Amino acid sequence: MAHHHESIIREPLMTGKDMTYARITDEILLPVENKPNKAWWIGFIVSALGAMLWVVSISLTFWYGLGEWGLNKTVGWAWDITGFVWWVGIGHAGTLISAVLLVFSQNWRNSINRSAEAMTIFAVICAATYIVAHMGRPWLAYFTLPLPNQYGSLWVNWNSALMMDVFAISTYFSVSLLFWYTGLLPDIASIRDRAKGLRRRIYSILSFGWTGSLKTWQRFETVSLILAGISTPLVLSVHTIVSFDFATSLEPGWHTTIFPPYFVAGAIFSGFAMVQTLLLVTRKVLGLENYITMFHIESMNKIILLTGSIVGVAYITEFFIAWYSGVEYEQYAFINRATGPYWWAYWSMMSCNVISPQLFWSSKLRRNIPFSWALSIVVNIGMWFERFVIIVTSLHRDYIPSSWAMFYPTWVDVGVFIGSIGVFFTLFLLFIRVLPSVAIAEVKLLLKTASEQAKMKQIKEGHLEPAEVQYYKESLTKYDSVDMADYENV
Amino acid sequence: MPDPVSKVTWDNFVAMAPSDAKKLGLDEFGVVKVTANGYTVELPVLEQPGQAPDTISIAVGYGRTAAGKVGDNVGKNAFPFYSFLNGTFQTTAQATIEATGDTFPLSQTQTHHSYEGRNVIRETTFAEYKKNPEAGKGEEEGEHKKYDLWENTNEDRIHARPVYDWVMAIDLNACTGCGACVIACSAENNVPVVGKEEVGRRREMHWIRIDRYYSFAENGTAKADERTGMVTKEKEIAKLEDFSNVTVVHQPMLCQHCDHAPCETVCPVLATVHSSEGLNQMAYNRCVGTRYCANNCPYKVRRFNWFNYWNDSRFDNYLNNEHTQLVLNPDVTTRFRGVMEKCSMCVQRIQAGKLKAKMEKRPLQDGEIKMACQQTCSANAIIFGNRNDKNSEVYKALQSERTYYVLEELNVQPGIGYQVKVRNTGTESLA
Repeated sequence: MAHHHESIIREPLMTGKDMTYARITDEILLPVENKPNKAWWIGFIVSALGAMLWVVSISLTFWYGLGEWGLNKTVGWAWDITGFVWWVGIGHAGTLISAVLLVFSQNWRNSINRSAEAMTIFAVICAATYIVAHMGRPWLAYFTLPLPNQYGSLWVNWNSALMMDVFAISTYFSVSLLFWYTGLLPDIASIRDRAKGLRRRIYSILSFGWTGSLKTWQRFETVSLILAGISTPLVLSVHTIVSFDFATSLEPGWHTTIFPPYFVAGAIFSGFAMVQTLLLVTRKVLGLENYITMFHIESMNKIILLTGSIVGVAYITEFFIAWYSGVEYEQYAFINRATGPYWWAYWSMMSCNVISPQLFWSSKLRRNIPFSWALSIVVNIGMWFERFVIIVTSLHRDYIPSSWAMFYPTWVDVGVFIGSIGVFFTLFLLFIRVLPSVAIAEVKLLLKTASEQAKMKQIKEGHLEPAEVQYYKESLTKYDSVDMADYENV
Repeated sequence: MPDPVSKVTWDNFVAMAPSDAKKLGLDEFGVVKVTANGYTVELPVLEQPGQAPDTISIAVGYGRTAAGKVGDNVGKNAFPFYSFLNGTFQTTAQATIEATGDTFPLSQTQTHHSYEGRNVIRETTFAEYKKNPEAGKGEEEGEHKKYDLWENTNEDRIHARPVYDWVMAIDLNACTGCGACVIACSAENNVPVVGKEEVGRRREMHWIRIDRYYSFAENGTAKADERTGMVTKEKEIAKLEDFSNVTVVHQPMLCQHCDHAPCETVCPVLATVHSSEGLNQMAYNRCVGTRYCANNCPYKVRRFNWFNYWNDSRFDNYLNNEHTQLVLNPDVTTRFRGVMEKCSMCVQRIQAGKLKAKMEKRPLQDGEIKMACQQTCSANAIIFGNRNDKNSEVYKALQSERTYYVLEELNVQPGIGYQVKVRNTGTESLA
């Protein structure tokens, strides 16, 4: 990396005075190399209890059958596929951050990609549990794989969007895992070099013999770029295929061509909200304010605003097209969404996903951490309702009125969902204890170019337009991790 | 087995005009104490359109004590309401009703009662029919164009039906909605009896059902549909005050064995596929139970085994009992939990019929194979047969000018043709 100077008018991606490579390693590895604090334990116990609830609910379902859930002859999918799509959607932000932003050289991703990718992996794990759990005979889940067999050469059905789903999700999981782990290699090596005894042995194995030689780094960069290239189309394709589950069907309210872009936007929307939910807390608890700065928070809020608006346009387009189609079943499906027995779900979705993100037009709110956190939760509640509205309100009243029915969840339905959140947070909390939650090697790249410290040096060296320096200083006022007093005499 | 009109299973109830229930401030399924002839029972109220205002009715034959497992203590005995007068039983009496404040949910197999003006149901009047036999068929704008992704012309059919093309014709004019077909089908195909609670959760397993729709004559502010001239839309019905002028239509609904079956394309594991005889078949052993097929079925005729009905101690039905198991039809397998099932067009009967003809070295005769539902239908409303045979009864029935296919505009190409219901109304005789 050449130590080129970045334009002064760009906001710093890392703050803090007297930052050194050693200090970065120390600070980020603090939770990995020390005993957990009380906040972690509280979080972990609550999450683990949630995970236990998941185990109980899933066991009951496997033992007795899917009748433990509230599904019926008319509504064949409800909380299960709602949960599945919700989790897959959440995963998307991680891939967008790690792959797409890398391809577009958006260096601000360096501080958030690690946690976001971990989130992707755990979210996809949660989604995958739903794929298996929603099957009537989960022990035969391998039937969905095109394995050679002796049933007279019986293959899978490539016409089925569920079949494509199996491949989309498993590809997504493998590529994400590979990408995440590759990125982790130099950081694991850092832990290894500082560890002793058994820890050293374990991290040594996990680091795959990373030497840190120039050649290793060169290969690392190449592999990262290749994996980013492979992952980039996945950001678009995975949720497109998930949307095919609905779009390729005959159900009014499902059978629409707008679904792929609408689902992808919704996925990124919910994913960034989840990144905010996780990182705003992690940043505070682990003291990572210098790495995950206000610039990051605000940028993510802008993405939430953009994707939330795309989703809003999609909702309105659906209504227009339903009217324009002239198909009575389609028209009824949409009127029923807004005014039928599930009107409350529809309006929860509209207010959480379309109205509330619009508040982010205000820069004050975008930079307000408690508000951003609360809104990130609201967005994910809204996105859950979006899937519920699409799945349940379309199914519960379709073509033949005699079959119209309502869906009432059982406690097992609720347990599986709440439990999956428990599983997710358990995994995430374990992750921040054993692996660095910020990509150490990658943020170090920022130190000499895009950090507040480097920019300060640039200012002190002079040779800069005073107007640009002034602009830069003003942009710093939003940072909660910058002491403006340092700039008074500069 | 649901009641033909109320669609209530298991219990009897107090049928009451919706306007009366409103007047008395009673909610549906609210338990009332009915006293007449010195006898009292407590039963839930059911709002029954067509029930004459200021009257109630209670079905007899319930509340038995020695009927065995299936009948004991189901509903309440209403026989003591009878009085004996001048040598005949009087089935009516002055009754007083008193709300108890309790509720007792009834399990109905159908909870939405109107067809929303949809052309799923097509009917006409006799006067119209005389003028134009195709009246009510709804094809004034001509035939629907058929589209196909694959080459599928008659000369070069990829999905050929070389010998048989099994189809059905169901005459809505003949069907009385009695539901004998439902019983016949369940007995023939070992369809599990799931119990009141599971029916209440909308999980009855019937492979064939009788859809019953109410429609109402226009009155007051409620607007009638353009197509039918009757009030059938939920929001319009809500405006009605008088529900006594009700018309009922029954429609047997079962797997339509679509030639472009939407269930088949979505199954990830090819557990439901088409046969070369036009049947939509289920390979139970291949089914992993994603329920995608049921979601994508526009007719909602697919039934999922939510539990292991034949081997789960929580279900006390004939499938579970060592001795009553003997009534199961040995030609039809029982289904494991997590598997989808639906009307198979009595494929076991088709196979048996074909084998018999083969052993006797003769072609299969039309009418030789009968479906369980068809065999039981006293009105002869269901005709089954081979569409390839131009002389078959079913072929002729489907040539009727009254024939229409439910949801044919979806181009799923259903194999079951329905005949428009013709009512002898709308003439001066009604006035």
